[in-house]
Amino acid sequence: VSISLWIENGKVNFDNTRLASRLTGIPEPAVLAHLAKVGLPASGLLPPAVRWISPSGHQAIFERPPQIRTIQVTEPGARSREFTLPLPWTVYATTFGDDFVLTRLAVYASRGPLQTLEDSLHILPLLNVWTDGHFCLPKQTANKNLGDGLAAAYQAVWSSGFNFDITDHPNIAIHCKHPNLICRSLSQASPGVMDFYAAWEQLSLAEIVRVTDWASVLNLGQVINHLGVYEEQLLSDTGLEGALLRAVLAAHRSSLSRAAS
Amino acid sequence: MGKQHIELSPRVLTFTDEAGERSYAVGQVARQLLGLPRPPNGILPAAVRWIGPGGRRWLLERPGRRLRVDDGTGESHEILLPFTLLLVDLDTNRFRCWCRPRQLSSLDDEIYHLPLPASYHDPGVTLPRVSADSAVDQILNAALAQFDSIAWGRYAADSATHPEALSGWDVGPELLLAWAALDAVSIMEAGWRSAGTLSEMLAQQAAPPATGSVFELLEQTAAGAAGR
Repeated sequence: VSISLWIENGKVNFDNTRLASRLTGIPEPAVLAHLAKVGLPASGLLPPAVRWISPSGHQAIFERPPQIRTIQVTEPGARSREFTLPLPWTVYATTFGDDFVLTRLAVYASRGPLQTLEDSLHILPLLNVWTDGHFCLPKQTANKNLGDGLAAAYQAVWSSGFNFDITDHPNIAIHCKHPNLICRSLSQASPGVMDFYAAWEQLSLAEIVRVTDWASVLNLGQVINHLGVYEEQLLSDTGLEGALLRAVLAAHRSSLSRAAS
Repeated sequence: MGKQHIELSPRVLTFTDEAGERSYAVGQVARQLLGLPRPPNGILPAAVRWIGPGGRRWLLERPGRRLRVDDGTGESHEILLPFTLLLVDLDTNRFRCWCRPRQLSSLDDEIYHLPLPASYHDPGVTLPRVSADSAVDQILNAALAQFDSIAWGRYAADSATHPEALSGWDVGPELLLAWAALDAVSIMEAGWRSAGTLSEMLAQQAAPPATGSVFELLEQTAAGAAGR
């Protein structure tokens, strides 16, 4: 991406026709003020272990160490059940829209703290996760900044309750018998999702950290590239700011390609 | 004023006047003028806790830990550190450091001086190992490594920054010997000297907003970049 601009008699001119139709003739001080807003906004206090942030500052990846979480699962026509699950290292890929409203969120398992773009990530066999790994979000509200948004993302996964609207990943895990450590104790002829979580609940934190055969796998670089699609949508505004941010995004992708090669 | 021209590509900004007599292609100029982020980052260190506007200042926080430090005389001592904070400025390639007895929970939290020589506090510690065009993650990792290799005892420290538990020691090596004798509880309750709140410090360190003509600013930054 390349843009050209020049200034005549205190007015800004652009050779890019799309920009020109919107921006030509704007006084120079107004352009300066506009440029001053380009780039990352201040983040607010971030939670520990934010491991990647996009050029726009509206996408971020953070991780959490192994821990035990209690989730509430509601099956149609039945009472809610709680499962206390040991969790491995988890990784959260987030996208925020205007006012830092959380718009997309994916949660993965990893084998340890992230170290390279080739690190394997696994889609956790949770309910309410689409086939591409994204979490079906409850209604989200505005956040003050990225830091608050990331806290909201974490709460959205673990505190909003799970239902049976999307059951793909637990069913894939049961069908493929992965992870073996969970599935080997499923003795029923046709185990269900609740049976799967009941078996998971029996594992210790030390055991779940050693699991390597989660059913679905991709790597960190692929997750970041996937986020890039949405970054482009975020930056599709036809203003000068959008053009500049797209330039940054192109440089970012180029750098990722170099890193991957 | 004649017709002048700026061309912006992802990493390079070219400036040419009407006669084509001057031309600059300086990546730093593009970032300084337009507030673009640095070259994109790889995987960030887990210590990142705050990112300033434009991605130019990054606050890192590390938990309390043991650190073997050089006293400047060829001796080293293992001391216990509380939580440490580093504010890395990508424009100046320097960082400043403070400490806290516990993890940050708010930007309004109080931060405390580390008993370092005044030259380490203002204008801060330089980052000689990285170039200005390094990716953010490399710069942040270099700052963390640079902090760990500070020669703590080389100069007489500013006693106004000493915690109460070390208030009797002015000279570096002796200060470190006394520090090395403190246990974890004593470190957390050492009576660290307040440096104000984190938000106050971030506001003090903020870069002034860009003013003036686009081309004046461009010429100034290009001249500055050429002089480095």
